Amino acid sequence: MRSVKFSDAELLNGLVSRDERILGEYYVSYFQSVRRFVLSNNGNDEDARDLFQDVLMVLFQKARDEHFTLTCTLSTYLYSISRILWLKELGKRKWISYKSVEHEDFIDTDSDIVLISEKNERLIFYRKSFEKLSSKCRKVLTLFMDGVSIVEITVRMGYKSVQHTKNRRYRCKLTLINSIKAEYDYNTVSYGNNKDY
Amino acid sequence: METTRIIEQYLDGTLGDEEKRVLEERAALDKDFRELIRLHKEVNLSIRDKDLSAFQTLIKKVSANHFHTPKLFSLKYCLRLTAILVIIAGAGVILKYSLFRCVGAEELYQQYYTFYDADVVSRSAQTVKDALDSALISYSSKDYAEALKILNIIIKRDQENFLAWFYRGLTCLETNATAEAIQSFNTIPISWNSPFKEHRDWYLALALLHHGETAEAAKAFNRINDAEGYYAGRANKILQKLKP
Repeated sequence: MRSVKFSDAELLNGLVSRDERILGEYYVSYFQSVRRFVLSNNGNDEDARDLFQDVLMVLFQKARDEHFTLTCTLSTYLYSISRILWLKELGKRKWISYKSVEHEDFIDTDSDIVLISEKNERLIFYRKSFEKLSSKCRKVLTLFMDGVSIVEITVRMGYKSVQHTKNRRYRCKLTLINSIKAEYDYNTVSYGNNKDY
Repeated sequence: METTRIIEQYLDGTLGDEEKRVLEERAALDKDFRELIRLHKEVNLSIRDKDLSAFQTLIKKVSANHFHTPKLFSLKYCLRLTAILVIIAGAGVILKYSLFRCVGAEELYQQYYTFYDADVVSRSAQTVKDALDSALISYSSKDYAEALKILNIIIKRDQENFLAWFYRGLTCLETNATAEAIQSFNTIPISWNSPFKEHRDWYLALALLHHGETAEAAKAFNRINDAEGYYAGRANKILQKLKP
């Protein structure tokens, strides 16, 4: 099904700019086909809703990449992402065999869909851990990540020296890394090429 | 903190040549170290990228709106409105009840809470039975993490396996995940026709007490007392002590 109100380009732009009205249109135009697919392949309504959110997150990452070009219709692309992510989910649940999923021809979507989805999950988790830090730690780390100079950060934060600011940054980062390590299940992490870092 | 400094400087591109060489040599040989660098890199990305998190929040909002759009003056909407008004009216009673009771709720909970001994399970589907039995064995041997894992799988497959929801509530209660325990018990419908129902009612009431929802707990104990079942005597005693 295609959106009758918006073109594919408008829908993609609306996604990147986080336009609530456009996001609603994704649900109106595309959710039902994803739902039907999930329901006919061992899933339920809640699975369909969760999957559709993951699909939109992946599409958001793809669409804001300046090198991304849509080579088919948006509905085909969304459906393909849904299939790939649902197959991954079924694999995770183990009690369902891949073979039980009906196979039909669909576009060969990029093989990095699963990696993007897994990375999204990690980034969201890290962000939540970051938001649990003290407000000063959050501010120092954000300023560093925004490329603000160390001298300016020292002034803005009212620290006594540049060295103190640096130490503060490393301490905050260490706290964050330790809290993530304590809570995140690293057995599920997949980085793709192991030799990269 | 030294490792953090080195990795951060490496990622910033401000690490000196010698330290950079040492880091890269170590990363080539040490998988854990490589993963730590990746973790730092992704964490930095998550700090820099506020949009992804904001996007997820927005999707959740849009999804909630799409699936739960209230229709003005519909029966469902009116019922919700009534429920909200009842909750607001009850809030005053709850506040009064929580502030002026005689014995502390937690004290009562500690006094009356006992570990629920797992029962023998009988279900028609063999695989479900096996999984539930495994969960009960883990629960009985106090391996709550494993029990919870299996119960979650069962529930994921069959949302209406209320016995699994019941044991999930008990498992959460044992691990002090009280809010989750309440949610699990509450998933079971009032109409549940099972010998476990009165146990579920009792442990739900205790969970509410443990969670500090004293007024709700009192209502639940009242229902147990009125039903004159197995736990009625204990519920009555708790109610006496809870009275202001």
